[in-house]
Amino acid sequence: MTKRIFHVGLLTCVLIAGAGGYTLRRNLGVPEPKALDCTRYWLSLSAPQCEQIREDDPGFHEEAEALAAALQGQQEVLIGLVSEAETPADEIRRQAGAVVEAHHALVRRIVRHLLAVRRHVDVRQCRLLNQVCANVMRPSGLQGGGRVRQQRGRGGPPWAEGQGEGMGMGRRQRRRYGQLGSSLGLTEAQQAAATEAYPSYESDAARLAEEVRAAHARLAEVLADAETADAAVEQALEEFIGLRSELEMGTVDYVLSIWPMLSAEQQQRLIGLSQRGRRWRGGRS
Amino acid sequence: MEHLSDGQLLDMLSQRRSEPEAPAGHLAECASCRQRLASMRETWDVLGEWSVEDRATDLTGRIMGKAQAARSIYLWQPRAVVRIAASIAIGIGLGGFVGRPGPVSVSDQQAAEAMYLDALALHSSTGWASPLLGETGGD
Repeated sequence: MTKRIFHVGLLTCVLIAGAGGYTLRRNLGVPEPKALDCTRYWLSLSAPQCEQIREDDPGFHEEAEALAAALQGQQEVLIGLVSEAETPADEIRRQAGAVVEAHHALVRRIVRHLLAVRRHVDVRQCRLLNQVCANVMRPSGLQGGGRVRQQRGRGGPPWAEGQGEGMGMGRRQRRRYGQLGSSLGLTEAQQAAATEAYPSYESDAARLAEEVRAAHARLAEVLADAETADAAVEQALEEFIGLRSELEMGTVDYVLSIWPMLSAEQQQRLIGLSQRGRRWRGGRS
Repeated sequence: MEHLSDGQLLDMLSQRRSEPEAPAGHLAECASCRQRLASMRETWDVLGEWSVEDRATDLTGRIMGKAQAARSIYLWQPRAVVRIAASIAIGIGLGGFVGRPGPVSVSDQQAAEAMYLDALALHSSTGWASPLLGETGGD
């Protein structure tokens, strides 16, 4: 009888300790995976694949983090300069150039990493990677909320089809160009002064904006195609970067041509536009 | 003729050296009683040679002692302590195993952020060209 009581007691100990262990383990929760682990878990990479990627492209996460922080820092400096009405236009222009360069350095690093990952994944993993790239690079991005265009056109990713409307400046481009003036609340006199300082901007900006879109769509397309050679991807990337730099700096020159004429309210609007540059993850972290 | 009883025969055996007169006279005449007496004597002699072992043991004390030991043996002996500790360890281990988190799931959003893919989205670095790229506001 005593023996039986003892064994029942042991069983109770096991049950109580088990309940405690279960509760404790549950309360510890799931640790947030590190950046490197995210890629590993998400693509279901094997240990040898991880090792190969690390050897092929060492230090990506540290470098990308540093580049993102540098970009964020440059954007902060630009906002600070734009906030001061007395800041010389040349200084703002230099800083805007630094922001664009910092962004492109980050983009180059990311694409280099994507190419390295692509080299070591299987077909299924590559498809998954391409899919998320395409989602991020589509106009609405992963966050959704934007309207994805589904027009039929000249090839490229489905979401990019029909975006190009020829090299001439159509009504849509003119409307977009006009959106810059309305975004800043420019008066007719200010727009006339800016056009006088930069006569070709209206047509250049509209053309460049379309070319940047097309180049971005091409980049997305070659990234989505696992068969595309790395050199072709890099070429598409440089083309996109070149066009975007041209558009960015042209716009900066246009706005800075009337920098001394901007009112306090217009300056605030320009700060608001500058803050849009930080909307992506690097700007949130 | 009346035979001798077992009691008379036993009396005769226990007082062999001084046998009474009357039974002895009957025995001289009765062969049946002589035979019974002889048989009883054999048994008597065997019993006389059997020595009873006297251990002088207190059985009650021993039984009670064992009962006491049986009551406390499981709780205070080192073996019992080890069993209890092992039970707790097994319980915690099993509970932890059952309660372990499932495989880590990573969303597309997390993966994209881990690889900084959102920097590849089409947007203006300075923000100034965002109206031209059709970026919506919302800051």
